[in-house]
Amino acid sequence: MTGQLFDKAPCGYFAFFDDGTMFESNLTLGTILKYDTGQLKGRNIETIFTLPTRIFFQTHLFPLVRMHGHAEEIFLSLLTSDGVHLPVLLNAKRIEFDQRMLTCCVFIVVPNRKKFEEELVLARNGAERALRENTELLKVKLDLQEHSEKLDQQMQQIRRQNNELKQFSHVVTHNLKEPLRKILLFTRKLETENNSNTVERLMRSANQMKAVVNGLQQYVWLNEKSNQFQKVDLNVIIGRAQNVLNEEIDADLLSLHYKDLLFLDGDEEQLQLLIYHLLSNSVKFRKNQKVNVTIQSTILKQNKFRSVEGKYKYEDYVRLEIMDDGIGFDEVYKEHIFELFRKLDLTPGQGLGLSLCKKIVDNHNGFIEAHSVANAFTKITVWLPLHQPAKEDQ
Amino acid sequence: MLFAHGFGCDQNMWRYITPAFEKDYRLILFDYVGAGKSDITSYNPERYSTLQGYAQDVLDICETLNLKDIIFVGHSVSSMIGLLAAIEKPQLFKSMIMVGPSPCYINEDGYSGGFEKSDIEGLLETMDKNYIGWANFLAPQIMKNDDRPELGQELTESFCSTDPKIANQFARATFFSDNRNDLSKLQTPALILQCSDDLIAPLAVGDYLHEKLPQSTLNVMKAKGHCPHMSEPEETIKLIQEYLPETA
Repeated sequence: MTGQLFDKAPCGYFAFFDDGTMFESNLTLGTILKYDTGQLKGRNIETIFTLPTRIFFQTHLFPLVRMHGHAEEIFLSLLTSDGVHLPVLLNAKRIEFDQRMLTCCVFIVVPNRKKFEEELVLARNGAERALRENTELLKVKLDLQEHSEKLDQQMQQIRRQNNELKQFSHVVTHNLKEPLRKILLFTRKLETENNSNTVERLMRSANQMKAVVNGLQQYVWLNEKSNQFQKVDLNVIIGRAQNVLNEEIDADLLSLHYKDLLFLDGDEEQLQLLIYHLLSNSVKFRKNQKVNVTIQSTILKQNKFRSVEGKYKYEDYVRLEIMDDGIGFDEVYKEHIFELFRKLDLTPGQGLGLSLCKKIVDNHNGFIEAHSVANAFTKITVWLPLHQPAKEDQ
Repeated sequence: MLFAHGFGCDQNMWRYITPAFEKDYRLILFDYVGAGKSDITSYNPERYSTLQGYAQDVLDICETLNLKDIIFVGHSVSSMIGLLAAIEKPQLFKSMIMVGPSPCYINEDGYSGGFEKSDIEGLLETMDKNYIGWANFLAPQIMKNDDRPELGQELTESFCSTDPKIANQFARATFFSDNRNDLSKLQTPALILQCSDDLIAPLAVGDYLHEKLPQSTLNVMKAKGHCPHMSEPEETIKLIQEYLPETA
């Protein structure tokens, strides 16, 4: 075919470089798109595409031809100079020409095929829509969703309660038995000798037992109390927790840094207790004379399903990071530090603070984790849902 | 270096870029579920209805392979997927390379993303038409490559193949995403590779990103279009190398 004939062939032809510049085209293209001769050369190829076709070209067609070398039977919409959309079927091939890579395309206009195709798409979409919009199906789906969420919560609760039960039996068998054993021992001794040292040790054991019982009481309180969710300003809560702590310790021991923290739905009293225990721990396990604690908050999306596999519902959570420069701990224990009466050291206290924190976070349907490098830092990360369900549903 | 492909293709799209880095870095390439040679049975419409599910894929890969000090290279929508992953686990990521990123594609209250909702519906329609049986060109290719037989083997394998239903949902998750509020949360330094004439991520979007991302470097490329790593791989490689301190 001579060039002259090809110019008038009953198909559109154009070729462009990788940067989108039109290299050449035949006359038929100009006629179809209503451009004068010479108007097309040097233009960006995208100017003869409709906007959706331009997106499709960038995301699908260009990568395909670039990598594959060719593409066949591609459906596109071309744009005439006076704004009319023309459905076309296009074949493309990448060819080396004059040491540059050219993409050559031929197409035919397919208005009738488009109609046929539209009917096909319509029919298919109609069938799909019918399926989607089947109200009964939708209702069942909603129910199922609701049940899955409930199931997930219940599974979590059961898992927690099982763990607690185990820990409780440990507490009863060990933490309470040990001071009791000592009290009995020293009382027996007291019968035989009147030694002041014995009385002191007796007192110590009794006090220890009192502290354990007090701790257990707080724990049970957190277990049974109903949550009072309201909008809570973390800045305010932290200020209050610090004030409470300052009544017990020298205020100079703690240097606390936080700024512009978020608001979230929560139980004010419980969250204050959470911050109090975390700060109290940082002070207790400080490395230097003074401990530096930084608190930051960010909103992030997290999958609310924690137990049911394959279910996803991404919701907004507040990630609260409490970081100190204290003695830290060995990360092999990081799964255990939230257990009841678990202590990694010999400092005073009952090993109760973090299990209370865990309980509070559980009450908010959140989660808590610890990250640490010994002698460097401890970072406690608390994830709390930004929004709590309007009504407690348990 | 962890390379994440964009919407419409698979990990093959990085093939002109990766050779330049394989000597100095451990390279990780992957296909999102539904693209390339991924296991389609793992697809979960709930998980992948938003970009968050894709970000979880990235984090799952990091965890499974125990990756650290990651240089994340994401094309197009994967820039935002990487952003979400890096916000969640900042300790894993060293730097982000964003190729043609956009935090929001739809024009909205004073923000110019480049598209109206109807444009995206038009794209979905164009995709639908190209997915009808006889034009199923994005399905695994079983075609002869007459003039370059040495490529034959590779081309019989899946190429830029995407399951049509999944592609449709990925398109929706991509083009209807809005991550503008997440930008300020990124703690990882980021390089924005902005093409000079990109319909999908226009110049104004690059400027917007540069302004909102705390530690970002904006580089406007000579490359035009949305796929500089395919149209101008040399320029893309050079800019990434100049940005990374190890190769600068």
